[in-house]
Amino acid sequence: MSRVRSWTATTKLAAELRGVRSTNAAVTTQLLRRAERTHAKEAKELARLATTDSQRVAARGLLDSLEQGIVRLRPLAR
Amino acid sequence: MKKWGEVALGVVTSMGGFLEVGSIATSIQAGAAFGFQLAWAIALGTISLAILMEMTGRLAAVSGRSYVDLLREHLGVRFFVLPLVAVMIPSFLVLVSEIGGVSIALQIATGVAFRWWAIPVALLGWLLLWRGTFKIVENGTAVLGLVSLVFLAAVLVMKPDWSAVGAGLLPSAPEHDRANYWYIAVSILGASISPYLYLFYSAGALEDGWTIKYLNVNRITAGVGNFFGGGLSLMVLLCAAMVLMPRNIQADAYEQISLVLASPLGRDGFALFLFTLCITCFGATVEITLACAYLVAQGLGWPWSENMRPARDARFATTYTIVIALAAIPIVLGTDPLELTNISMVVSAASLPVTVIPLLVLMNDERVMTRHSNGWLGNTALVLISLMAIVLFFAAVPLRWFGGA
Amino acid sequence: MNDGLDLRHDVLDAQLVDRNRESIGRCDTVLVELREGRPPRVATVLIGGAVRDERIGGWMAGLARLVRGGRDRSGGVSRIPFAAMQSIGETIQLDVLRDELPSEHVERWLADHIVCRIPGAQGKQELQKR
Repeated sequence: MSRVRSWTATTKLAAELRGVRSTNAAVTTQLLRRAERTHAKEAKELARLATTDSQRVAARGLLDSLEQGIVRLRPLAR
Repeated sequence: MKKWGEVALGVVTSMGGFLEVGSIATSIQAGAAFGFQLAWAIALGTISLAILMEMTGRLAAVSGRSYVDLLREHLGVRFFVLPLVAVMIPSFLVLVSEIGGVSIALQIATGVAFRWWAIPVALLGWLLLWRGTFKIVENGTAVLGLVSLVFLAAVLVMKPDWSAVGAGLLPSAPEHDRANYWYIAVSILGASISPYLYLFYSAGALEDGWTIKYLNVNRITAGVGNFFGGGLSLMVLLCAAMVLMPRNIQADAYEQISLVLASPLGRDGFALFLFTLCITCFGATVEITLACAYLVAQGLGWPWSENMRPARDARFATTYTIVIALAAIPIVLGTDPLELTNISMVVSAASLPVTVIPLLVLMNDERVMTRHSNGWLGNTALVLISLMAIVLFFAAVPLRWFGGA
Repeated sequence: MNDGLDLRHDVLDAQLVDRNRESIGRCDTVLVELREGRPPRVATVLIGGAVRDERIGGWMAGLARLVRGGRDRSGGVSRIPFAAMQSIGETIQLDVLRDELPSEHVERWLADHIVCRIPGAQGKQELQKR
């Protein structure tokens, strides 16, 4: 779960920095790929581990934030 | 006058050479997860390293023999195999991580996958060893390594709360994630006190022709050099603490780590980070390769010197060639550089007793050290470091198991 | 200088260097000459040989045999008369030249067949004398 939060924040920071051209396209793309991989991996993990409804809701919420971060980052990479 | 030039150079070498993939990765992970709280681990590691380096340097200057040479003589060939293997394995793992560090820096800079960079990097390192001399290797890495001062610049820009930093320099217990905290502490110690560092220093003292007249140079170089070097490591931790921790970003990948300087210093910071990672890891690549070759050659009694042309020390030259070639392979095969770095730091920490404890014997052997053997202060420090090394030996692997991400 | 020379401590396994102070290996065997009515005298110092294999023991000796290509050990032994000793201290300096010693055959083989085939082996960018 903390990994999902970490990568959501990463996509946010990456988008910010790329916006002011503080980083290059290459690293933005690489971060995007890693964020996508993390999303896929954690989605499986959380589906497996979340047993109660509230846990499932919380997990869904986190994954959604990550997805939003990825969507925002995508146009900036490349 | 010349001696002060050597001191200055020695200090710069220790400074420029202190940061490498291990210290960067562990300091960043520490700062991201626990803010300033683990600063004490860097301080402890740095002080221990300074003491060990001063001693192995003094050993070489007084006896004219390197630490490895003397170790082998005291243990005999059959028992020398233990420290030989115990140092070779972590050193090799760190070497692969360094090549990984350069490769990933180049990947971030160019977009070309890190696996493609391993062989060119190893080849360039080999060329430097083949054609260069010890002075070139030493001075080159020293001067270029000064780019790592960019971390100091970033910290000054971000204006940390220095009293909080000071508090972090005193050991404290974590409020959360206890296993992770101690695991990172152990990794920091493994990164700071890598055996290859003081073995290389001992061989370097001989390459530079140090004698009894150089004992003060040795003390200042080991002390001041590591002070500044450790300070740089601390700056890396502070950067991560101020950029990553507030955003709850864990350092899982070098790409995330590269953002740490982009935030305070913009595009220049980002570029200088990559340059720093590249240069410091490359310097370490060459150094560790040499250190492994020294270990084998000095242990087995072959002629050796980075100043000799390869035709005159063929076994030594062949050894470093094989070492650097083998080290490139795991990176070519795609091993994750950060994961490997973390593993190698733990292995490094666990291997310490084998090279620290014999120093207790050697530094008090008056046949070897004459008037310059350890006083009570030196011995006390060495005993404490030995105890720490023994604790690390037992704790390192379990902590990785329980506390690793 | 031969008074108080502890053979086991000071000679056996001691680091040997040649005329140019270059390392030629460690002393593996000491041949002592027994004389009638007089104290024994160190006659010869050996580098390499069957005794070395015995001293390193086990798998390492097997590895050494492998490197030699299974060839007989006797060719790789250097016999140096103790009279050639120039100085004795941390290392024992002998009045021989490294290139002329049989025990350096691996070094010479590597130098001739592999190292010298790679360009740049004969010189360094900045040659330094120690």
